[in-house]
Amino acid sequence: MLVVGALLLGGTLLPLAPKARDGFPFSNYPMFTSPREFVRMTSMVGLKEEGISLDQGKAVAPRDVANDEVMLAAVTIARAVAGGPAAMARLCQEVAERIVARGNPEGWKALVVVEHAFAPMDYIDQGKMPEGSARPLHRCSIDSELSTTKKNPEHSAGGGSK
Amino acid sequence: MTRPSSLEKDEGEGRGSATLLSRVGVGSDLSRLGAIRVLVGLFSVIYLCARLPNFISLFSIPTHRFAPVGAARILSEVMPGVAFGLLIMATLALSITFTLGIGHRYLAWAFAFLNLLLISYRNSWGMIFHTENLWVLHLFILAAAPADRAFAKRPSLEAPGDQKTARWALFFLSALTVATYFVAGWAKVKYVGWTWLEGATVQRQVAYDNVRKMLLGDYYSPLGLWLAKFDLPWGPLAGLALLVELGAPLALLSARFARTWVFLAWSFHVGVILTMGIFFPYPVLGVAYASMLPVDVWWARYARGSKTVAQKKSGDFPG
Repeated sequence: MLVVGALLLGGTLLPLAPKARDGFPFSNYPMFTSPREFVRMTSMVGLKEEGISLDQGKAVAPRDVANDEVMLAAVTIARAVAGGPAAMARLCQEVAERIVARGNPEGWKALVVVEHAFAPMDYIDQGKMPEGSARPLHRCSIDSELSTTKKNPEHSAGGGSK
Repeated sequence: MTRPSSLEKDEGEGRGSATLLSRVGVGSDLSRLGAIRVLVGLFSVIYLCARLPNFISLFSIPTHRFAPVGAARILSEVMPGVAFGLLIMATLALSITFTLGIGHRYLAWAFAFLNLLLISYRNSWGMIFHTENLWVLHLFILAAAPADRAFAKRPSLEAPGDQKTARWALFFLSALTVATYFVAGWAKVKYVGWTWLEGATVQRQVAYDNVRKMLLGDYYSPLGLWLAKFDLPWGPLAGLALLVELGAPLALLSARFARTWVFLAWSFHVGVILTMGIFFPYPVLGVAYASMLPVDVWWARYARGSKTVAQKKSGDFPG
């Protein structure tokens, strides 16, 4: 018991070390440690019509991106963005295929990977996202009839893909 | 330092008396440990069942997103569906034997290790969650301890040294709990500094978290968004949160400190639910703090009360 207890307690306290990183089951519990004065976050938006603005779109459900865990979906999108155009194209394709596979009930014509750059307190003050805070990074279209998707880098909601 | 196991000895009024399932005497360390095993076991059974859809959904995530952490690092690639299905079923089955105290000496270890692998696997898709760490660790302490001497289907006989081992097990259960909070508090001071106490970081985090959830199409807390408009509450709330986290080790000093800390820590998690919609089931349901509370005494009282009520009822309605 003493050995097991000491090992687990030592492992739990190990993240107190200067260069500790998050892990499992021993974590440095980094929640609430970012200033968040100005944030950049990414999401995916579904559009019902070609060429409409992002404001008229609707957030893609987490289960279509990863699974029912919204945080996993958020991290999945963020990693794809960090991976560049090829990674975003791959994610967009995967998500579109999932939506098509369940019959595209929202009737979306396109998906857009969006970057939001804003100060959280600006949202609180204004009650809405500040103008120009959303920027499309990648767009792919959904072709429900063919049950396949076509990437269209030339035509991006709001002006071109990255 | 007073060990948590010695807390509330005075409440062990049923000590030595025959109880529903315990042979070791209510109020003893072995008794409390047995009651904790049942609580953690029940939590495990319910949690694993509730998580089944989530586990199954991992099948649908493209395999290239697999980024193993923890025990899942032993895997070079994604588990085949059959193997993962077997892992889920075996872990669930072992959670039931654990709860009942069946074959504790070996099966409890098997449960602890398989559960570690299963939860590590769930965390291996790009996002490490922080809701299950303490539960996973507590299972190893309970596996190493004589937690089947009481509140078990067939309680195993007490062996020499069991009480001492049980005392250490209770200490380590509590120490792990407070250590996780302390590390979380330390991280805030380490990465942000003592200015964290001003509350602006929490205020912005609550605002950001709720806006992010809105953009991602998830549930968010309207209360948190509304409260973020005001500067005033966040300083005191930040102070309270840091007091709970950095002051957690004080809970190991005495029963009174432990109870006070448990209440504050639990309140902290309720606050997180209300302002951010984030639910940490292990602490919110109180299971994380069971080693600091006389759970076996409460159980015995409840059982005695139920029996009395049943006797009264049968007296009222003879025959």
